[in-house]
Amino acid sequence: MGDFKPGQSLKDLTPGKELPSATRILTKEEVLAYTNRGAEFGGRSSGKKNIHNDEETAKSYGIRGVVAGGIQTMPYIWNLFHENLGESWDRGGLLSVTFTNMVCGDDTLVTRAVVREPKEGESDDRIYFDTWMENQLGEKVVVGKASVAGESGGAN
Amino acid sequence: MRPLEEAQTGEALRPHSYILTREIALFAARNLGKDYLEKDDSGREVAPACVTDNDYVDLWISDFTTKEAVHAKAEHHYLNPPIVGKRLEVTGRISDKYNRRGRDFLVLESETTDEDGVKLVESKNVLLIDL
Repeated sequence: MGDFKPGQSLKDLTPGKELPSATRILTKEEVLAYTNRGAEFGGRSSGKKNIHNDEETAKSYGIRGVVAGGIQTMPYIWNLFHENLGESWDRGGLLSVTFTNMVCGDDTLVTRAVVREPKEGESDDRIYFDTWMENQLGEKVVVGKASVAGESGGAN
Repeated sequence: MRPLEEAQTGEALRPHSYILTREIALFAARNLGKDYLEKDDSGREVAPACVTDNDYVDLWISDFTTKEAVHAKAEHHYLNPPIVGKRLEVTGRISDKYNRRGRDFLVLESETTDEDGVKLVESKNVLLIDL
């Protein structure tokens, strides 16, 4: 577990191997900056207070702080694969996630991925991962699966 | 503008296009803790492919209204890295609507292609729409 290193052969990614995990603190300031700037880029800023851009609004719903959109946190999983698998991920990586718990400002997030055996109906030519992100409370906030073509290439 | 709840399965959404500026690419990179953009083999700057993860929103936001919608699931097939400076086109449709455990969900399938016809990503996103 945990002994795969970037640049190693994909053949080394056998079931049970874990990519090096990535940990980061997502500050409240980063959540607010991302929410406000992202809305600007998309022209989607309504100017209204909501759980993503206003701490008081979030707390009025019983939430411990401003909530990061999944669109801000899902890239951390993308990046875990990008940093470890490079081109194999960038040209053919498949990522499927479910957002299971809220991520709030100042949460500490750990992103992980472990190789698993292909399930029935899945290609033997791809490498499959269980992937997830957990917070400092031990809650999984994102769970999902990912896959890349093995060294011989592989259908989806 | 129509309520998102009225969207029909199979309904095509109005295509959306935008230029992937360096500013947008850097915004995505900084979210990953990087103050720089990577380059491809030709020396062109590329954005993190996850910069396209939110493209599907632009397909429905201009035609539909919603009080609130929660992003429940996301699936992305990354095919090619997005080149900075290219115009990207996003197309898609409502591929499904369903009720599960008394909650209404909407499924949007989309793809993003650059101005040279290179497909960058295929996506499927599920929204919970009856908060």
